[in-house]
Amino acid sequence: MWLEPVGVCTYITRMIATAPTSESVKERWRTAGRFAGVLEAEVKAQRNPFATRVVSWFNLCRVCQDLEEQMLLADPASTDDQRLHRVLLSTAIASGEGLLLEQGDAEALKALRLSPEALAAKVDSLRITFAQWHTEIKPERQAAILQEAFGGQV
Amino acid sequence: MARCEELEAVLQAQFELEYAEPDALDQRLRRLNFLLDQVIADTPLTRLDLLSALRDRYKEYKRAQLLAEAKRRTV
Repeated sequence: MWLEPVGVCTYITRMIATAPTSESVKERWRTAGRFAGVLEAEVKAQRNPFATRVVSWFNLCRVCQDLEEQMLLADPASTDDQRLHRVLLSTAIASGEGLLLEQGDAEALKALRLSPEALAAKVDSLRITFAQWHTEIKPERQAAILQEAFGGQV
Repeated sequence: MARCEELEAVLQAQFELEYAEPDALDQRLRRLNFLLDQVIADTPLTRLDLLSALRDRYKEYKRAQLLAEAKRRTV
């Protein structure tokens, strides 16, 4: 389901080259892509202290969230923005998984009011967002789940 | 808790997880999971089944929260 690990900039460059989008959208993608690319690189940079990389990751998550807010307020969201959101979100999830795997300095996280459990919770939150925005569900299945969970009251 | 109140509580808990301060993330996730588990008790559903099915409801909820916040800022 996740993207292959070639970097968010590479994906967005490919998207710009292949997607039939307007110049304004492409420029927005370039800006978001560059910003996300820098943050992604900072998260991966082993030369940086673990806490610094975690802060960069939270900023990457914020870029995703900001795009998502724009999409919600521009309801309905454009297909182009949805593609960009998918790329950024996949990158944030993969980067967060990487940080979790490293099991970095828990003491350093305390200065950020964080813990390994909090990092894991943030990754879980991103996964939920991915499931809600970028997976498919048949309307009849969706209705059946809501019926089973809430009865006819919602 | 009535079913529609349970639904509202789940949507609110997801929103609060998404916007949680760092030191509250873990607690917010536990709160969401607790509410999800209550709703899916005695059903074959998983937490992710339910969250996935709530996608449209949650987007509506989040959009309303964002608009309300934007309105508060302009007042």
